Amino acid sequence: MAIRSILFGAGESFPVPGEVAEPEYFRDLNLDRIAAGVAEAGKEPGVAALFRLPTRDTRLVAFRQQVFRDLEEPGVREVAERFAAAMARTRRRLELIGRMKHPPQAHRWHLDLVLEHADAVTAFAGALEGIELTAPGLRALRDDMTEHVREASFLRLREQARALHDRLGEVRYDILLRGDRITVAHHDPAERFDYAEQVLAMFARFRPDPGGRPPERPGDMGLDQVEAGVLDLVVELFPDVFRDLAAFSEAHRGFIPAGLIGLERELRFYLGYLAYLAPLREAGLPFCHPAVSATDKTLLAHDAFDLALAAVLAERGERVVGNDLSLDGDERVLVVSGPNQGGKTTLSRTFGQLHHLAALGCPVPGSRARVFLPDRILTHYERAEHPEALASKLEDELLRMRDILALATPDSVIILNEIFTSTTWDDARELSATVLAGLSRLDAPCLWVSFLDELSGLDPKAVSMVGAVAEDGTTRTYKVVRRPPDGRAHALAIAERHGLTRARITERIGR
Amino acid sequence: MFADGDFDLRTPEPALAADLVADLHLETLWAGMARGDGRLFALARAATLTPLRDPAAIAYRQEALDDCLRNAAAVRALHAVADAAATAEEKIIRGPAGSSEGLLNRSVRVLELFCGHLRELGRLVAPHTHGFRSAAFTRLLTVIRTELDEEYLRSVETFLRRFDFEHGIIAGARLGEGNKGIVFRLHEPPGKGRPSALHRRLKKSGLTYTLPGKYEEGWRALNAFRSRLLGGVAGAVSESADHIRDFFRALRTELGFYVGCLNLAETLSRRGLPFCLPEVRPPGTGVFTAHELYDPCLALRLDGPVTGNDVGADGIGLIVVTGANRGGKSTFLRSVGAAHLMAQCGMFVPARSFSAAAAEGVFTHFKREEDRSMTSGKLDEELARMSGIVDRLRPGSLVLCNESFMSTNEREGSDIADEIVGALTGLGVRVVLVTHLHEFARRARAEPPDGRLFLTAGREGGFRLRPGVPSPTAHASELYARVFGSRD
Repeated sequence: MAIRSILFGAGESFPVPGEVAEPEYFRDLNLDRIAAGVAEAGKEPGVAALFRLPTRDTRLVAFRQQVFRDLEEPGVREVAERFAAAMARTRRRLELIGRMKHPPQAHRWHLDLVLEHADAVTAFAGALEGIELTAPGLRALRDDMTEHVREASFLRLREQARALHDRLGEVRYDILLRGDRITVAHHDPAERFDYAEQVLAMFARFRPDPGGRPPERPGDMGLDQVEAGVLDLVVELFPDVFRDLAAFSEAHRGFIPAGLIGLERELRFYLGYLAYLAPLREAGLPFCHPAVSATDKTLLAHDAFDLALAAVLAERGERVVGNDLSLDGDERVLVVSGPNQGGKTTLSRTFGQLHHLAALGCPVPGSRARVFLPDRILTHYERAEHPEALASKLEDELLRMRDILALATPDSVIILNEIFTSTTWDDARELSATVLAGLSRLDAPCLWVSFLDELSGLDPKAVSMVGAVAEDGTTRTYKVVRRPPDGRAHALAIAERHGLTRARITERIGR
Repeated sequence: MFADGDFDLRTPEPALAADLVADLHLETLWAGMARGDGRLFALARAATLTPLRDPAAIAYRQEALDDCLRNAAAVRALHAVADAAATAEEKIIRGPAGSSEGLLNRSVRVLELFCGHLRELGRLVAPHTHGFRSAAFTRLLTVIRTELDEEYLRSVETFLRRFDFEHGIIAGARLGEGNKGIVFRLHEPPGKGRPSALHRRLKKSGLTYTLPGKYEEGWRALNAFRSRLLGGVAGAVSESADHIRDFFRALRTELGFYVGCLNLAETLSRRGLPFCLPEVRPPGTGVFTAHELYDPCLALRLDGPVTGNDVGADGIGLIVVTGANRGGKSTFLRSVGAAHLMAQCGMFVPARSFSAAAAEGVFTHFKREEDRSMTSGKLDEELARMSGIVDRLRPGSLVLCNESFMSTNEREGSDIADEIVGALTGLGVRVVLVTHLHEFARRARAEPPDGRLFLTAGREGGFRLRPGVPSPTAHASELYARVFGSRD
């Protein structure tokens, strides 16, 4: 039996990503932080590698978007999460069992693990039958899982394990401990073993409410020498069942199919990303499944934001500001200018993240989006200050620019953040104009953060965006829109900021 | 403290309690109740800061308090026994965590100790069959008399002597996770003399494990094994000991609150100050009438006489207090706040008579001496605090404002006060406002007088407030002259 990939589509096997190097633009766009956050939320470091593999295949993007859509339903997600958690537990346990020294103990753990795993797989297959699925990837998975749990080998294994488990569950024995000697015998069902109850009955009148007994504390997985010694006596007392247990354990060492291990990792990619988004969605931030194209270079994004920054802000309970982005018709270059601390760099990262996330098939930040799938993303961000001479910094920047233009094709996406800041204004203007002409000829979608606000006037393919900072006294709003002064009296304006006008108070207490 | 539950010290304090405590000088009140006992202080604090709203729940405590006031010596003695038992238990050292044997031995010792204290309780309540009338104390006395009789205490002591397991431990087991032996159900300890059939059968079994050698690790494992065998019973014994300890602790806590009340009542009586059990009406009924209402904290600090005020504010949503500085305005605000908190935790109140609607929380917004915030201005700080209060207000809340919104010019301050006070009173929040904002007071007076009461502090008549219209100046110059000497 094979389980088809839910990440790479029907018919394909699981390409094991192995070591995929982190793309160069990851750090500039804070995608490295997002990938780490997703891997952490998915509880699987291997997910980071899957996060580095964007595609230009619009069908594959659609395939994944459909899986995401299904998994965005809480009912579907819960089924997948339960299975992934069960798989992780099984893997962890198997590792621990491998290190156990006492065979009757290790065999029992192994038996219970086989049962637990079979139950989890059966429950997963059953749960998939019980939920509405529209994604072809998940429907194929459902078929594969249904087939898997109906296979004779799977059913036989489960049956055997269960029978053995029940026999072990019936084992009863009595113990006498005196001094350093422990004696074991078959259990005497005629005797009363209820001393603890006698104690509780004696003091029942002080019990605040007649509750049950305190729960047994779960023992640890280890076995010390006394426990092992007693267990050896019990093995002697019940030789048949322990012989069968040993045989079962030998026969079913590697019982988890490789397909299920691959499935778990792929599920964790989806679940990890959704778990990463969950607190942001809770904070009211919008996400959408973008329309994608490998040919149409126009861009549209409403209320888009920097995902990495939003994750930090949401954790602190701070507000995230969304911005609208668009490149229509022949427009190719977004020139972003404006004062410092106005959210320009954030906007540039938003632009870059949109392209990468859309090309992974992931939901993107924003209420609505149409995104081009580039052949590569090229970024040029100002690096940490070098103590070298100005000339060499400019030289570095030009070399980097030359590399970018050499690597770029008309289908690449280019992001430039504050370049040529280390030279004179005239030089910067002239260099920028030359680069802009090159970009325009190249016809690649581009976002350029520049202090030269007139840059957008130099080419018909360039459009201007102005970041403006609105200081309202307590919070900064990183919006591209200017606010007209509202002319309210100073004191009442302050009261309003604290939500203390008559209308706001009535609203706040009334609700 | 409650008809249907224990008083829990861990109940979270209301938000903004720190402001309330500081503004109303509540620590003075608690110190007066505690007389240096840290636990009584904490109890007084917890009780006053978690006010009740239901008049029936308040009456339950008032009746218990009435019993206490009439039987002060007996209540103090019961509290002393509970305190002694709970304290003695805390002094018995706990063994290392996880050792059932240590736990068992300790629990047996604790139970033996408690038997003495339980006997003492029985001895104390015996002569007081008819002295207590409240539901709370009737219940307590019945429990002590019927459940903790001598016969029971003796059978407990006999039972405790069997826990030495001199002849070994017999238990039943099955296989748990990883074939570890689990659910050791203990058999009654094998006794002296002829062994039972089970005991004989086990001795004959022949399947015996003997700890090899004298290695420390082996003994530790054996002890752990023994500990797990005893686990169930040790748990049961320690649970029982804990329940009796909790009984004593609860008794100490609940009686502790009343002992605090007794302490305060004694002090006030000695000073000749009046106090009364208040009449508390349901929230939102708008009742507030008091005679000779005074600030208990000021009374506890001063040696001289304190001035009480009469208030007739039934149906009044807004009380505006104006007038001379140092005329007793702030003291009046504090007396209103303290009386509400005391009434709503079941205490007596500092007044000759007092009836009021239970407040859905008491909040204070007092002028702060200095601006601690570096970033926003003083007005910002004031409004941020008010906003924090608004977050927690409900209809029926009581807000005490002392010179709020003065950190801007009078016109703007009045605008803001108008906006906020208007909204709050419109929503059924009761507001008592001490203010020098004459623009605000003038506007408030110009509107129809329904639901408003104006009090003024005059230079004559000591610190007593009288109904009256705001005076144009706050007599600040006079005060200035008095403090700094004449400016001439």
